[in-house]
Amino acid sequence: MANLPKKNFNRKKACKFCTDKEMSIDYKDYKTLNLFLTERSKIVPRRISGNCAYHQRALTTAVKRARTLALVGFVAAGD
Amino acid sequence: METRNYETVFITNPHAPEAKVGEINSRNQQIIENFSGKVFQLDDWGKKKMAYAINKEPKGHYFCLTYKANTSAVAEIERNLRINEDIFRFLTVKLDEKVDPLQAIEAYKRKLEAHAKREKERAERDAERQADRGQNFRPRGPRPQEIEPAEAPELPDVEVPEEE
Repeated sequence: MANLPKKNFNRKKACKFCTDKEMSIDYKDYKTLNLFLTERSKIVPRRISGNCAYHQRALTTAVKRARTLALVGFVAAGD
Repeated sequence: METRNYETVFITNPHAPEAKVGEINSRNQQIIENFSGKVFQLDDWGKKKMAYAINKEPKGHYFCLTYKANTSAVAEIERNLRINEDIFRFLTVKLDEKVDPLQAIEAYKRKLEAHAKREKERAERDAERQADRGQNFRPRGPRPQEIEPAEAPELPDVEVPEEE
């Protein structure tokens, strides 16, 4: 059993906003923001989405702004 | 006084008469002009379904006003929006100074077009699939998060000693 190969779980993911220059973060653009929200409208953590720290921070403020304008929900829509 | 570029998004009651909405907008414009600012654009997003009900109203009429003004103009606009009962919410954001506001508006419009195009393509694809499958067709839900398959671990070459 000792000789089992170690599985490589920590594969480096690329930040989508860094790789795709066309993509930008804007609180009005809720369709892009929705890509980074779970079904319950929670923000997807960095370790899963693979965003870099800079863009994750920008995304968080954008989502929070969109929430006050009811573009994005605070909790999952009750329907 | 120093002027900056701002953007105010506000949501009005969808049942408010058009005259009242027009009054809000003309008033905003007047305030900005009185403070020697400049309006770049008033974008009407139309009546949209909101993510959650505000004042027990599921829909809201969104407006986005982009302008250049000083801080007292912003304070005056926000004061007026706060008084008005037909305004559900508003949010003022200082725009990035390195980006020309007109270009930002253009970029935003292009993005909306891209979204619309993608949705249209998806609808076409769905229609095609429906023609193919007939009764077995189910509309495709939102795309699942892309999960990249973990790379297959390389098996180390271990020589198995032959047993005697």
